[in-house]
Parts: sequence; C-alpha cells; structure tokens
Amino acid sequence: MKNRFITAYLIAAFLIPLVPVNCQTSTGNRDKYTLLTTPYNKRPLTLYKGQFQADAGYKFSLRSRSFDNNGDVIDLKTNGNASVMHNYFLELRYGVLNFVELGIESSYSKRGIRTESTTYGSAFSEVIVNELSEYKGLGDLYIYTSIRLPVQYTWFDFRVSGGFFLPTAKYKPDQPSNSISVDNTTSTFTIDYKYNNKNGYRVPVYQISAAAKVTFSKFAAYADFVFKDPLKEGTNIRWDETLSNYVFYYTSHEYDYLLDREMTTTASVHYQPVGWFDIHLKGSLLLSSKGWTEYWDNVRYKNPEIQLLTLEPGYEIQISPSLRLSQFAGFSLSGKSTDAPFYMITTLSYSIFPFLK
Amino acid sequence: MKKFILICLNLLIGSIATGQSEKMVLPSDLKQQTVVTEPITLRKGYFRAGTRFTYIAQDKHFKESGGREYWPYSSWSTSYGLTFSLSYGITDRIQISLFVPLDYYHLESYYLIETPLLGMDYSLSINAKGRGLGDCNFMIWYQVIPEKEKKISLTVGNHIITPTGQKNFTDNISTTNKYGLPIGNSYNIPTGEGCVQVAAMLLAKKIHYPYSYSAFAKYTYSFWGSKLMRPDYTSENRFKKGNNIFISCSFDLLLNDWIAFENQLNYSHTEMGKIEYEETVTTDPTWDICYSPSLIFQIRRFRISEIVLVPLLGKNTNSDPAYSLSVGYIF
Repeated sequence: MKNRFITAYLIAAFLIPLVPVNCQTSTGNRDKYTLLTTPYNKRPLTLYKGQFQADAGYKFSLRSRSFDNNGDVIDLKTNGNASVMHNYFLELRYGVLNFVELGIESSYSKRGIRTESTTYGSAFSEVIVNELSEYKGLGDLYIYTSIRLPVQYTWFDFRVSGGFFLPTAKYKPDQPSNSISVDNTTSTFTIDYKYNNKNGYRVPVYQISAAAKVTFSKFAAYADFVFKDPLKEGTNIRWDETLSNYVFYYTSHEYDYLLDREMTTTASVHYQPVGWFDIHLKGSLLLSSKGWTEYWDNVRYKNPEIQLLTLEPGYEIQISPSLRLSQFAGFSLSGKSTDAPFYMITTLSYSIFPFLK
Repeated sequence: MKKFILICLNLLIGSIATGQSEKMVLPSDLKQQTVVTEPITLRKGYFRAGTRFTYIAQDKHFKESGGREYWPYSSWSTSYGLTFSLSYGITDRIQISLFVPLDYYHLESYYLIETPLLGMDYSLSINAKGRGLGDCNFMIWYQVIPEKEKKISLTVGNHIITPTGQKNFTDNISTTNKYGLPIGNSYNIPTGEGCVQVAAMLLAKKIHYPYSYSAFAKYTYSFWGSKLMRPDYTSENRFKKGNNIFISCSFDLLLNDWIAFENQLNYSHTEMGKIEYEETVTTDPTWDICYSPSLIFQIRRFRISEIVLVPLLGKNTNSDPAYSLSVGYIF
C-alpha cells in the first residue's frame, strides 16, 4: 500500500507541472491588434469605428529647378535663387463609424527665396543689393469628413471626402526687416531687403475628393481626384519701402486676389510582400488655374496656369501595432509655370482604439 | 495529515521549480544585435563594413550675435559625402576602425553687375567644385568597464585624422569680358583640412532593455598645418584650426525587435584658430547645439540608418540640417 502510494505520488509529482492549465481568455484585444496591423492591401479607405490616428511628418524640399510657361526647365542654381523648404505637418483622424471618418490637419512651413544679387558700380563706390523673401508660419486648419462604402473591405473600396480650409493662420506679411551696412574702407554699401510673408490663405477654401482602391492578392491600386477652390476673393497687404539717410520707412497698401482653383489626380500601385511592409509607386498630376492678383493701379493680372506631374516611390513599415512609418521621395517630371522640387516626406503614424478595452 | 501536507508541499515545489538552463547564444545572433543592445565594441574576430552618405544644402547660418539667418547672397552650395568604414574587434574589448571619405562640394554664385557710368550690365559667376579623397581617419576603442547586467559600461578611444585629402585650392581660372572686367571665376575646393588632428574620446553606456542611454565626450586637438587660404593666393600660410570639444547625450529605444529610434543631443564648441599672414590673425570661435534623431533598421546582419542632424542654437556656424543614410554589414 505504501509503495503504491509512493509510486502514485511520484507519478503525480512529475506529471502535474506538465499539465497545461488554460483559463478562459478574451479575444477582444487580439481583434483590436488585428485591426491596427491590417496591411495596406487589406485596409479600407477610412479608419475603423473607434480608431484614432495621429500622423506627424516632415517634408524636406529642395527647390533647385522650375518649369517656365512653355514647360522648359530653368536651373534656379544658375540664377542664384535655389532654396530649401521645411514643412512639418500633423493630421488627426477618428473613425466615427466603420465607414465615416473625421479629420483635422495643419502644417508649419518655412523657406527663403533669394533673387540674384546686384552690384551697382560707380567710380568711387559700389552698392550691393540682396533680396530675400521668406515664407514662414502655420498653414490654415483643414477639417474634413470622409465616407466610404458601408461594406466590409475585401477587394474594392470607394470613398468621398469633403472639407474646408478655415482661415485660421496669419496671412498678412509682417513689416519687412530691410537693413543697410556701410564699409567705409571700400566705400561699399550693402542693402539687404528681407520680406516676411506668411502662409495663410485669408479666405475659406473648400476641398472635395473621391478615391477608389482595388486589391489583387498582394497588389493594390489606388486612385483619387481632389478639387480645391476658394469660396471668395481675398484682400491682403503689400509693403513698400523708402530709404532715406540710411533708414527705411515702410508703408502698406491693400490688394485683392483670388486663389487658384486646383485639381489633383493621383494614381498609385502598391505591393505588399509581407504583412508589415508595403512598397508603392505613385504618380500625380496637379492643375491650377482661374486665380488672379491685383498689382499696380488695382489692375487684375491672371495667375499663370500651373501644371505639375510628379512621381513618388515610397514604402510603409508597420513598426508595432500602434506605430507605422512611411517614407517617400518626390520627383518633378514635367510641368508649366511652377517650381520643380525634389522632396522627401517622412511620416510617423500613431494609431489606437482609445475607447476599446 | 503530516504525510498529506508533505505530499502537497512536494507537489507544489515540483510545479514551480525550474531547473538550471543554458542560455543558447549563437555567434549569428550576436551579429544581429541592435544599436540598443549591442556592446560598444565589436566582439573578437568580427568585422563591420559600412558606407555612409551625407547631404547638406547650405541655406542658413548662425550669426555672430546668435540667431539664425539666410545667406543673403545669391549663391547655392551643396555638399555630398560618401564615407567607407571598416571596423574590427581585436578582442571582445578592443575595436579598431578605419574611415575613408570621398567628398563632393559644389558652390555656385551668380551676381548681376550694373555700371551706369559705363552704360553696361553683365553677370559674374563663381563656380567652385571639390571632389576626391577626404581626410582618412582611424579610431581605436577600448572597453575599460565592459557591458554587464545593471552596470554602466565605460569605453575610451582615440581618433586620428590624417591630411590625406587635397588641402589647397587648385585650377583657379578667371575669365574677363572684352573690356577686361571679370565675369567668371572657377576653382577646385579642397577636400582636406591640411592638418593632423588627434582626439581623445570617452563613452559611457547603460542598457535598460528596451532602452539604452549613453553619454559621449570628445576633445580634438589640431596641429599646425599650411595651405592656400584663398583660391587666388599663390603661397601657403601656416594655420592652426581651433581645438574642438564635443559632448553628446543619447537616448535610444527599440520600437520593435529590429527597429531602434535614437535621439541625440550634441554640443560642439570650436576654439579660436590662428592664421599666419604678415601678422597672425585669429578666427572666430564657434559653437552649436544640435538634435539628431535617427531610425536604425537591423535586418539580420545588415544595419541601415537614417539620420537627420538639426542645428538648434549656435554662433558663427552653418545652421542647415544634414541628412545621412548609412548601410553596414557585420561578418
């Protein structure tokens, strides 16, 4: 009896630690993480219900070329007015329903554009004139709503969006900060003109868009059309300066303008080799026209009609369930009457379900 | 009852006790460690080969009085650098590295000259390029206090920069118009500093998985050298670059098993330099504080890093961000 008891005890002692004990588990969290990590080719065009996403990014643009009104390339470096632009943006999105999304976004950008320095020489002295126009500040706040097809995404999706750029940003240029310096040893006068512009539109601008997405296994195709137009004409100021006794005096005067109407068509092809990595090639065409600006004697001059074709290769990586990183580079292929920058955009997306446990 | 309690205790011990286990660490695993979890120096017998591309467009600078402003003149300057590196772990605590930089500089300036008295206006352009081997440099690191659990590692190092790059301006060519007025100037920009520099380095690192913290200090002493100080000079002048103090703090975290996010805050101060003309003149001291975020992808033995250097504050120095992309492989 005793031996049997000892044998039973020994068997039990060896076996009990090996028996797995499974408690009841909840599947809610796993579903949440599944939704957050949905790869691009299986993701609908709006966020899921209750999903919140913050996209923060940085765009570095190198403006070393532009296109003239015939579409010919101008090398801005040979005019001495190439420049860089830094743009920081933030977008907040929330999925109200599985097919309705609200969003808000804004950006901050700065760049300085130089014109060719000019030296005026005379027998006894020379005057060097430099001119720089700076554009710096917050952009207007864009709020929008997106609605997609109220069906589960399998291989086709369609979305329409509409929203307004609210004129929240500062739009009036600050008074110029021109300066003059004198080098008595060489009788050289250097005049630096510096104009301090802002980035606000001043008037409300509406934007509507439509987008479609199709998935074929590991491939996906996306296309959208965006239409942007001001609701009304705007008024802004220009600064004039007078130089007297080495001191600048400034006066401002108002002028009217109408922002351009913009239409952008985008198409992209995506390849998803694994669930956490998406690579894509995007092409977009921007057309802009119908705007005008008042110059001398309140005469309205039509803004140049702009065309720009851009190619953007890029990728997206799912870093963790909540974090996604995307990067792409932009190459300006052809255009008319516009800058042709090269740019790189890096975006970090943070996504959660704040009200889902 | 006594037996029953003993049996229960034994069962309980059996169910919770874990035996001694051996941690399996393969060399291939060690070669895939991230920038957060790896020790400062390479392990014995390991090589790391890498290349780093850096791009800067000069647009702004920090003024003498502090504050940032655009370069006012109509000029445009870019620099590209491609540095090849090879590191080797002599022992688990000693690492040597060799860096071979290839540099490319391009400066273009265009001015309009108007001379009302002569009734003439014309353009003046300056086109300067520099390309070729930069100053090769060597590093040696020694882990004084090696990485151990819950302890800070301490590493000392030496950095020697040799003047292998072209130190002088060359091919200075000026062109004039039919009236003898200068309309163009082109020359080659030097890719080397023209002097030997030696630095002492100290690095402390603490790993607190999934984070790591580090502090770095470096003092660079520059020896006297000689070079052409301007493109139009024909004889070299002796000079001494200002010595430099560089201090950096870094906080790194793993975003997942193979992507690390590195945050660095750097302070750099360069002392006054000297140039011997007929009289000795001094160059202005400079300083800056930069923030450098980087994303480092560890894909098996490959390491791909994207680094942006953002100047925040400074004096008498450039204030443009620098972008770097580097690729390394450990074998």
